[in-house]
Amino acid sequence: MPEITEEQLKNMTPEQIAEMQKQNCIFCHIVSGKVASKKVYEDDKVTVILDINPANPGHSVIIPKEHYAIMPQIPEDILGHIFMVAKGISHACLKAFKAQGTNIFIANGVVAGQRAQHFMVHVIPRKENDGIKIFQIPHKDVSEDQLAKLSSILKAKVNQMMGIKEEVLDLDNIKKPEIKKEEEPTEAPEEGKEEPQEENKEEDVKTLLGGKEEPEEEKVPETEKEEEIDIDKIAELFK
Amino acid sequence: MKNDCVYCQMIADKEKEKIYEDEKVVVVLDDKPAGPGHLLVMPKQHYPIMEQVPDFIMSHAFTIANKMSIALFESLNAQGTNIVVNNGLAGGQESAHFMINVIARREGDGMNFQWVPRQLSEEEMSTIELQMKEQTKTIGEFQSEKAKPIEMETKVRRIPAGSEDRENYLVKRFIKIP
Repeated sequence: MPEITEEQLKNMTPEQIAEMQKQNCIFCHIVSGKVASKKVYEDDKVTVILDINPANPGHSVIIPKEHYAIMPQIPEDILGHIFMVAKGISHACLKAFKAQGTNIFIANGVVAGQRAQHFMVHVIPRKENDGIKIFQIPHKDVSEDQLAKLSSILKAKVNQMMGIKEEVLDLDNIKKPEIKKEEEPTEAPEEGKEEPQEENKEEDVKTLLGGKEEPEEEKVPETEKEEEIDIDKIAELFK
Repeated sequence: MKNDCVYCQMIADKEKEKIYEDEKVVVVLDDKPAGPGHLLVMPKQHYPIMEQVPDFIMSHAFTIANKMSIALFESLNAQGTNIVVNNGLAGGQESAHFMINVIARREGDGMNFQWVPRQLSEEEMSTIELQMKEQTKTIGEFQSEKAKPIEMETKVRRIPAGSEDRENYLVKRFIKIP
């Protein structure tokens, strides 16, 4: 690797810096095949390899082919794709190793345990009594006041973020169903059902009394159960 | 909704403070957090484990999880975030409702998600590689496209109906004009 002085670094364009990061990134080399690895899955957006320091046999890592250091940099379509693959890899782990569960783990930032400058998603097959305890999330008692404070800060931030995006939060305040139907015929009916919080108190009562919607929703898991027997067993362990 | 699921009840509870909500997912603060800034991203519908969650909800839920992670960075000055899914009892899942944990991290917060690496021989790794490859064959177009056609279909069905109305309306207006 050629040494680069600070002076040179200052004069580089962002594109050049990005290119340099790629050249120095071992995971980019793994993706391109310059560094040998055990690839278990590959498509046009991601590569999945076996972790060389596995927590359990079958520990896989999903790597986007493009170089992204942290999760916020990743475009939404690629992010969505990564997690659809993650679900598939998790299912593959269950089938291949007769695992009874999995962990999905992502670290953003060195403090969180990120070690490489390339974003990745860990999928770890789990068995009962395999001795791994680190994914057990600690629980602390926190006062109501503190939770309320955190909640108001976060909610303000999220509203601000989402306000810019398409996903509008304060649908309650918009009472123009006619216009919505014309503009977005697909989304309007659903939003209308779920978003109004104060208007549909009758619905609340219905759902509290054992609402009518339930049978519909329960059908979905049942159909999946028919296809995938392994999953069924794991899901039933809760009962 | 499942009546005996605490989280389904929470989602249906209008009184419960929610950080974010849309037609597919809900985000709430964990009542017993790992630290300041511990969010739970949950699909509204009840799915016990991840393998039962439809692909399009998976991608949407994690897109939202990413946004929550950004919000933790920007509003609570987190220095890092962890996104953890405990899937299945053996995976440490505590409740039969699939959820994504988004946890803000700060230096010296006492949390540790670093595993102890297992030493596996080259032979073992090769066997694992083959076993996994066999099972990952089914991943890909089929699963990721499974969700999209459903959304497309509804669009295709509904848009013509809407546009017809609009046309009719416009035509009516047009006819009324002397």
